[in-house]
This record gives sequence, structure tokens and C-alpha cells, in this order.
Amino acid sequence: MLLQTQLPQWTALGPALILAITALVLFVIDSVDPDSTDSALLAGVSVVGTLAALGVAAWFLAAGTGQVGTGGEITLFRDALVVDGMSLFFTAIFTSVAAMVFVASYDYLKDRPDQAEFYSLVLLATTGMALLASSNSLATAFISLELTSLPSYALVAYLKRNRGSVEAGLKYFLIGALSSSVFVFGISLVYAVTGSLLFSDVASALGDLDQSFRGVAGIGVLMIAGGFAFKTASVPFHFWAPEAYEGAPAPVSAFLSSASKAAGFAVAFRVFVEAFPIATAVDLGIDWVLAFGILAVVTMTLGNFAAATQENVKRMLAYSSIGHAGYVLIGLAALSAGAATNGDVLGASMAHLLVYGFMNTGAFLFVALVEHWGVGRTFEDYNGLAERAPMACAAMTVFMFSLAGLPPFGGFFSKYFLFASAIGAGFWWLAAFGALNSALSLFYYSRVVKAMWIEESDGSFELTSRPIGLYAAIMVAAVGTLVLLPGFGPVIETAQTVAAALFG
Amino acid sequence: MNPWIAIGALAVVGVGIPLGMMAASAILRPSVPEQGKSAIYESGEIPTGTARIQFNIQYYMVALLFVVFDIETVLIFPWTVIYRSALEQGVSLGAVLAPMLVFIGILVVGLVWAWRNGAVKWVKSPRASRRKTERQS
Amino acid sequence: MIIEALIAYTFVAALATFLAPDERAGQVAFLLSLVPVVGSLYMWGQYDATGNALLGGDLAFETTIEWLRVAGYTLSWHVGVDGISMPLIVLTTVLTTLSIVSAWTPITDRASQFYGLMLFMEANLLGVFTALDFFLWFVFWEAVLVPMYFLIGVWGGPRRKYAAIKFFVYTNVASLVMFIGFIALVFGLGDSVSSLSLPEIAQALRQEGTLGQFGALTPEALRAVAFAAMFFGFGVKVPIVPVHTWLPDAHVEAPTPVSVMLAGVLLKMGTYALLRFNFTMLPDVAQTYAVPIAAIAVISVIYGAFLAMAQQDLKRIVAYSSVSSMGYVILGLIAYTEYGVGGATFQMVAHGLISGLLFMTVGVIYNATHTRMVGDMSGLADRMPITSGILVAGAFGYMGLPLMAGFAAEFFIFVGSFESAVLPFAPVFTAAAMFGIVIVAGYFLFAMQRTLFGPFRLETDYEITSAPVHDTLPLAVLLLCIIALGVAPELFFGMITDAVTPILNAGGGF
Repeated sequence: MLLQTQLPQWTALGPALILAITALVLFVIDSVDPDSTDSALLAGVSVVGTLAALGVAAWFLAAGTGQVGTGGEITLFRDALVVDGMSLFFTAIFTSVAAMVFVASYDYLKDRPDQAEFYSLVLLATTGMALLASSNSLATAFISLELTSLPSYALVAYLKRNRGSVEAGLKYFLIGALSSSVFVFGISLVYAVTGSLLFSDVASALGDLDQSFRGVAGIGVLMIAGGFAFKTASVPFHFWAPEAYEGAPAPVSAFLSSASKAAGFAVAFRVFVEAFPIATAVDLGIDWVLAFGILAVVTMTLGNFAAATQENVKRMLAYSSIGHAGYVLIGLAALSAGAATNGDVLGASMAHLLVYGFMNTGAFLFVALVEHWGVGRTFEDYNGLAERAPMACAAMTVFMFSLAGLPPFGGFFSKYFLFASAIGAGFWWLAAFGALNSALSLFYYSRVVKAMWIEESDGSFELTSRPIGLYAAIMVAAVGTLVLLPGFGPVIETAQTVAAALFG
Repeated sequence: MNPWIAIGALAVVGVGIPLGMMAASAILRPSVPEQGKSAIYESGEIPTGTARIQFNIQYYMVALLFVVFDIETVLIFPWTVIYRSALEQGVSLGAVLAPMLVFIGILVVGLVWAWRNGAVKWVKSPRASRRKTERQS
Repeated sequence: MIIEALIAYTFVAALATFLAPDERAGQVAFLLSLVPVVGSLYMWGQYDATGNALLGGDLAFETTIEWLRVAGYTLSWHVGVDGISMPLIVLTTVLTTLSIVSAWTPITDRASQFYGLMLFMEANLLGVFTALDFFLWFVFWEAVLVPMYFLIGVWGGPRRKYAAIKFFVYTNVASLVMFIGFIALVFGLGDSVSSLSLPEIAQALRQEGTLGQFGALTPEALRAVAFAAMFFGFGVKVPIVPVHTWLPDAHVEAPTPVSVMLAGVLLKMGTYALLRFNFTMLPDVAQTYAVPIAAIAVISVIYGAFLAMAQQDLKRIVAYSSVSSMGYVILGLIAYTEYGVGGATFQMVAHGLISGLLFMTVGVIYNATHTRMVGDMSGLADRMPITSGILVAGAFGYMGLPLMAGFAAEFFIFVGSFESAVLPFAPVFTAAAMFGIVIVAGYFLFAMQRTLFGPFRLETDYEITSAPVHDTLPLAVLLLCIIALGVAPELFFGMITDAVTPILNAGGGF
């Protein structure tokens, strides 16, 4: 209401613009003094910029910009971009994660050269994510996807003298390039049969598609789904995730596994719901709902079983992140044509992504803290850590139990609402698989907790410093995870409202 | 007639002609093996070293910067073509000029950043200078 | 507002205890935990309600505050107390305080964390017994696992890590199964309910024709499936045979105060939820499957008793005997008579006190002798006369000696199940279950004779003397409570009957 009458339309893209401008400002700062290692300035500018974007996104969300109450979605650049509740909701997720990552990077990157590049790459990737959530055409979706991915490749290989980091970057890049080409080929096939790249035009063209073209359209849809599977680290394009997360600097792993995954889901939700409406797709024999159902089950099962066998905490978190991608896929898998429950299911998925953004980022940042101390990477290396750093370990316990879906933490509500909404939509078998996996996940998450609190330390490590930035970021994530239990109401209500608008 | 037949015929001819020419020359020419014939062609210069060397990474830097200008041209050129007629048809100066200024501004920031960070500073790789000293000694 | 105040206070007290210095944490926690005891006793004194929390009638201390709306359902902070939950609240607060005192001797390491977790658990237990909104209840229900995991895992015996993770995963799986069953039921109700408030759901479920088709399931099938899922989910917590295997491990490895809470209160969560969910909401299914349920109950009684008999470890004996006692509760519930269900509720309290007493006594003996093996001990009565006396009293209480709480509870249950109208062959089941008492008497008498009497022959390099006062005092308090309830069961039984009657009324005429 506020926005549409008082501000020009393009300001609806405010969050993305602020992020892009902040990235450019960082380039300018680095041009003025290329050899600077002034972490405080660089991290400060990045944090201010991201928080400003977060604030604008939250303000728009609260004011109802682009939502039904204020005249519906705002489309820009001849419908290539759209700003609605969903894009703002996801922008809020990306910017919150990015802000935490920046605060943590202040310590993690201290005394390293090329810090400005790190911050500006993360900001550019965040910009890409914000655009991805707003894209309304397959062309903008692809370009924003690349804007998100290209900085990510560089970020994974950021520790360029570290073989693990470089190897991870290369693997990530190769699989990313492959899936990008698959994705773009899928787009071209869809364009070939529908003659448009805009989601709404694709949908209407599919509606009166000649049946003889449905094979081409089906392959196109399948390939586009493959592109999203890469971005969200879902089966079958999930191989890169453990490698990339393990090799990358931990703040980058946090960023990729939380924000980048959410970005993939943001665009997947929009593309599949708007461009390939369920009723039309099923008429053509392209039952992507069933495909996502199978993918969800396979992804969560594979992720959780693989996570249970890991010895390395970061790798375990990587597989758990695959498992969570499986849970979130329920949002696309428990839909049915014209059902009133669609908005609830999708909204529950989005709410889970928000909570996941806090708890998973926090968990990876704890790993960053441990790496900063030079404690090892396996479960055994964490033994007795709680004696030395009780506050940080308490926060990690919060993250682990929240990821496992135990109260009194945010992950409890988001996971159970997701399962409940799947049952409500009649897909009880998805909830049953989710529940089985959730119980299994408790086993490996509690291994971390057990190592920190129950096992005896072998006394081999010295925690020399108390890095203030890392601590602050972890505490913010922990408080966020905690507050999201009593304060879950606005989140789930917003998420379900904006998700329902997508089906309207 | 099936149109694929024409395509097939084209393919056969396309593959057949080069193969035929190579076969014909192999039959006709005299065989005089000589070392000079298998040497790398360097426009008359005597080749030094092997062909399998690592290029200096600086070449790629310059190539990347070239891409910046390349893209710039692709967008500026049509813009200049419509610039005057757009103004004549009553589009405001700001609406025509501002997007291009922003676009060029972003590229300038990128170029300045690359310049300041040494992308165009020609540094020899340690490996290349080592080889040079080896050759001189 | 007193419930909110108590729960909030207990959370704050837990936090304060976490920050207390280790040396003083025990005393601090004890003093802090007195407030909930006084509060719950005050609630008991003020209690004037006559209804059932789920089926209507007036409730005590009820409050409803809307929390959030999700998918068309309202979630609220909805708490209240009826005659079933009131005794359990008193039991929770009293047992927590006593087990905190009993922890003074054995818990020396990381004491502030230990007592903090005990209080944190108490707060959540109070929530479980008062919450009347499904999600609110489920938050507390699951949150109890977290402190329990640490309490077993950090302060337990040699195999504590295994026991803790087994407890954790077992009960979590159970909760998830129960969750799916219950939520399917709620969605099956469709538009008949607009919130996840348990009373609303229970009342809708007890009306004809509210439940719709759910997927491929007809309303009848959905009722049966949901009942089975919830029965399994709560049955693990109770525990019933054959899903009881986490219990002996958890009990044996847990430190004494934690065993007391585990047996005294946590097991009651399972039977309480069975009563609230399965037997109140779906009485028709329960009555259709009365025979298998009663069979499970009797098997739990007999099998648990035989398992107890085969043990050498005193703590294991008590642990397995809990399986047996919980079988009586199920038998009482399925009887659907005033004495049956009322007696089952009474047994929850009585067993909470008696098993708490036995575990504490075993703990006191262990503190002195550093063994729990029946074979290692002999003639302890000589050295520890008071403790031995209390152990004898507790064991007799377990066997159902008249004038003790156990007798009243078991008597009510047997009377109730004997006259049950819904349970075919009720006398047979009752007689079979009563046989369990004989076994109980057998194994307790045997164990006592071996440990307490006869010549003293435990070889130790330290003197075994009477336990310190702060160890024996909680035992005495518990014994007093047990005798008080045995002499005057109407202290609780009146309010229990009031709350139970609505369940039977609608249940019989369904």
C-alpha cells in the first residue's frame, strides 16, 4: 500500500539493488587501496549493506508490497522480473544468512589477502539469489542462476593454497557447468514447444499444446528440474555438495548450504507452480509432482543415511543438508491440482527454509569457529569441547537439536508443520518417510552433542582466542533458532499467505 | 522422396571429398621423408622448445578484460543508433542516458578494480624467468 | 495464571541453577524447587473442578491465549487442570524436589548443569500434564527428551552413551509415529475442528459422522490406524512389552535421581497420554480391540515380572518391575469402569511414589556399598538399619500391602477390571494379572532376603555405615506419602473419579 502509491515501481527491487550497490562499493574500496586488509571496514560495509537489504525486504513484506492486499504482484521490465510476497520472503532468508556469514568472516578471514573480493563475491551471489527469487522468465532465471553460481565457484576455491579448497572448487565448477548446460538445454526445449520464456506465457502455451510435442516438453521440464536439483543439492545432482562443503572455507559452506539452497528452491517453486501448472502438466503426462515425490524420498533417505556414516563433522553437515533438501522438496511433492492445501504445503516448506537458514548457518559457522581454533574435523576431535567453550557448544547443541527437529527450537515447528501439511494434503507416505529419516537424523546429530558434552577430552587442544565476530554470528543464529519457536506465528502465516498467492 | 536422402547424400559427399583428395595425393606424391617436414611451422623461424608449454596466465587476464569491452560495444552500438531518434520522439534525456551511464559506470568500476589489482601489470611468472636464465647460462 | 507462573518460574529457576557455582548448585536447586512444590500443593488446595479436561465440565486454572494460525488451524497456549492431571502435577513437583536432594551424594561432577537440567525437565513435565493444545503439548512432550538425554548420557554408568542414544532414538521414533497418526485424525475431521485444541478434537471425535474419508482410508479404518499409531507411540514411553527394551538400559545406566524421575514421572507421561488420547478420544476402537489390548497388558505384567525375577542387579529388578506395574495401568484403562480407569490413574501416582522410593533406596545402598548385585551383598540390615527398613517397606508397598498406596491402586484396578462390561473374559484377564503380584512378592522377598539379612560378608576396604540424613530424609518423606495415600486414597481418588466419569459415560454408550 505504502509502496505502490508513494514510490516508483522499480523500487520494489530495492533489496537486490542495495546488494548490488554494496558489492560495487566494495570494489571501489578495494580499488582505492588494493592491499588493504582492513577487515572491519570491509565486513562492516557488507553487513550494513545486507542488513539494509534485509530491512527493506522485511519492510516490504510487512507493508504487503506485491501481495494480494495491495494490488498483487509487481512486474517489471516487461514481466521479466516480478516482486511478490514470495520473492521478498526469500530475499529475507538470503540476506539474513549473508549477514551472519559476513559477521563470522570478519574473524575467519583476518590477515588474509584478497578479503574485499570475498565480500564482494558473496554480495554478488546474494544479489543473484534475490533476482532468482524475483525472476519471472526462464531467461532471467538462468542469468540469475549463473550470477549466483559463478561467484560460488570462486568462493569455494577461495583458499587457493589449500588443495582441498581448490579441488572442491573444481568439482563444484564441473558439475555446475554440466547442470547449467542441462538447465539451459531444458529451457531451449521448453521455448521450442511454447514459443515463450515468460512463465505465464509458457503455462498458457502448454495448455493448448499439440499432444505430439509433449515428449519434447517433458524432456525440457525434466532437464529444468535437473538444473534445480543441482542448485538445491538434491538427488541426482547432489555429488558436489559434500565435496564442496568440506573443502570450502566454512563460512562459504554455510552460505552455500543455506542461502544457495534456498535460492534454488525459490526459483523451482515459482517455475514449476507458475510455468508448468499441475493440471496442465498432468494432462500432458508430465507428472512432475510424482517426480518430485520420488526425488524427495530418495534425497532425504540418501542424505540421512550417508550422514549417519560420516566421521567428519563438516561432511556430516553436508549430507544432512542434502537430507533437508529432501524435506523441503515435500513442498513441491505434496501438491495436487487445484487443492486448497497447496499454499499450506508450499508455505511450510518456505518456513522450513527460513528456520533452516538460521540453524544450518549457525552449525557451519560453529565448524568455522572450530577450524579457526585449529581443532580437528572429526567427531572425536570435538570430544570435550564443551569444557573449554561452553557458550559456543551450547549454541551448537541448539543447532543440532533444532536440525533434528526437537523442541524448544525453531526446527521443531518447521519440520512438524511440514509433515503435518503433507498429511493434510493426503500425502501421508511422504510424511512417513520424513519421520523415519528424522528419527535417523537424531542419531547422527546427537553424535556431535555427545562428543562435545559427554565424551572426555584428551586435552590436546588449546583454545587460544575468543574470536568476537564468529561468536557474535553464532549467537545471532542460536537466538534466531530459539526465537523462531515462540515467534513462529508470523513466519508461517506470512509464508503460507505468499505461497497461496502463487497458486491464485 | 524422403528429404533425409538428400541430407545423407550431402554427408557422403562431404566426407568423401576430403578423404578422396588425401587418398589421391598419397598415391601420386613421391615419398621423401625429411626432418624439416615434421618440424613446427613458425613462419620461417627456427622453432625453440616444445609446443607443450604453459601460457602465462596474464594472457587470460587480458582476454577477460577484452570480454568486458566486447560486451560493452555490443550494447553501446545499438544504443547510439536509436539515441537521437528516441530524443526526437520525446523520450526524456534522463530515460535515454541514465541506463547507459549506469551500465558504463559498472564496467568502469570493474575495470578500475582490475587495473588496481594488477590485472594489466605484466608480471613474469617465476617459471618463465627461471627458464630464461637457464637458457642464457 | 498459576500454571503459567509455575512453568515460567521453573524455567527461570533452571537457568539460575545453570549459572550457580557447582558446590552450591544442589542446595540452590533444592530451595528453588520448593516453590513449585508449594505452588502445586496450593493448586491442590484450591482445586474445585469436577470436569474432564477434554470432554467438558469445569476445569481449574484454565487459560487460553491464541498463539498462531497455521493452515486454517488455530494453535493456542491452552492449559488447564482436571482431576487426572492434578495428582500427577503434585507427583512431579514432589518427586523432583526429593530426587534433587537424593542427588547431593552421588552427583559431584558438573553439578550446576545436572540440577539445571533436572529443573528444566520439571518445567517441561508440568507443561505435559497441563497443556490442552496439541502442539503446545507436543512441544513439552518432546522437550522432555533433551534433558533426559543429557542426564543419562553425562552422569550415567559405564554404558551411558549407548543407553542415552537408545532412549533418545526409541522415544523419538515413537513420537513421530504418534504424530502422524494423530495429525491424520485431525485432518480427517476436516471442518469439524478449527483448532488443535485437544478438547475440541476429543469432543468432535466422540460424535458420530464427524470423521471424513482420509485418502484411501474410510473413517473406521482411519480411527483404527490412528489408534494403533498412537498406541505404539505412547506404548514405547509406558513401556509395554515388546517395545520396552530401552527401559532397562536407560534405568541401569542412569544415576539414581534420574532413575527416580524416569520411573516416577516419565513413564506416567505414556500412560497419561494413552488415557488422554487413545482411551478418551477413540473409546470405540479401544473397546473393539479390548481383548488384544488387555492381552498386551497382562503380558506386560507377567513378562515384566519374570524378567525382573531373572535379574541380579537390584536396579534392574526395580526397572523391570516397572514394566509389570505399568501393565496394571493399561489393564485398568481398558476396563472402562470407574474403578478401572480411576484405579489406573491412581496407580500412576502410587507407582510413581513407590518406584521412586525403591530406586532411591537402591541408590542409597549403592552409595554405601558401590555394588548393586544381589549376589555381592548380604546382611546389610546390620549396617544400614534405617535404609534396610525403608527398602522392606517399599518392597511391601510394591507387593500391595494394605494401608499403602500400592494396595489401594491395585485393588481399584482389579475391582474395576473384574466388573468390566467392555472386556470379554474380564475375570480371566484379571486373575492372570493378579498372578503377577505373586511373582512380584516372590522376587522382592528373594532379593531382600539375600541382600538385607543373613551374615554380613561384603568385602570392602571402607566402612559401611548408615546413610547420611539428607539421603534418608527423602526416603522417609516418600514413605509417608505412600502410607498417607494408602490410608486415605480419597485424597486423590475423589477428583480422579470426577474426571474419569465423562470418559465412561460417553464411552459405554458409543
